[in-house]
Amino acid sequence: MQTSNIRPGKYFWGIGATLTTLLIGGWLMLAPFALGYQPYGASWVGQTENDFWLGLGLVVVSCVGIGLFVLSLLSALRAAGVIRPRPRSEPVPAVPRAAAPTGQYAAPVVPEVRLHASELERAMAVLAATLAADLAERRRTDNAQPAAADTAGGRE
Amino acid sequence: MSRLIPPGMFILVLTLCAGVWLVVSPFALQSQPVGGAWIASTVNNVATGGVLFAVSLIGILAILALSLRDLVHAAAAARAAEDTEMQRTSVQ
Repeated sequence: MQTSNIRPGKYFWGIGATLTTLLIGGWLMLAPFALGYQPYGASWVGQTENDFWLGLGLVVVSCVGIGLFVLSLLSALRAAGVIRPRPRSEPVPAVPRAAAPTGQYAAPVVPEVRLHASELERAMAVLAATLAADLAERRRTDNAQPAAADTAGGRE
Repeated sequence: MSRLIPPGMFILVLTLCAGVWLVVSPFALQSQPVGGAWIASTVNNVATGGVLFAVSLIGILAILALSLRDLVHAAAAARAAEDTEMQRTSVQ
């Protein structure tokens, strides 16, 4: 595992800076009431509105910034091999059907079990394929019986 | 591959602009009487805006400097690997 290339300093600087701007935003929302330049019970003065909404915007933007820096840090750690990469969900392949003469039911081929699939998905795939094969066998038997009966009736 | 400049840095540019607005807003919104002593809201806005501006600027500069350092380290590592490869080829 190669861990010497990790340089997370810039992400920590970013997280620290956005955390500080988050606190400043919170203070801006409280300041008109804490410092008393917003009269109690009266409608908001222009400076209060400016400070409150700017503070709220700062809080929201800072939260987004913290999230972005944390994601970048995780991505850098993942690229360096410190944390395990996320498993990618692969699309389930379509079940191919065996070639069959026209008019007859073709039994589905049992799909290859992928190594990345979870145990539940694997079990479900095997179960579905087994059921389909069983159904196909039963239909084939049902189709064969009337044909045999017709042949026997013709001889009589 | 991680990006050279993290996208979160653009958030710091936004907060830098917010800091500038905070400093000028008491004068732009005319809540500060012209020629008079600064009222409480003006002092608060100018001080908070100044801190916001400084924090954002320091964050941006630190990220840019560290990104540049990463770039230099990556270039040096690539050059060292290239030299090693050339030496190996010449020995063979």
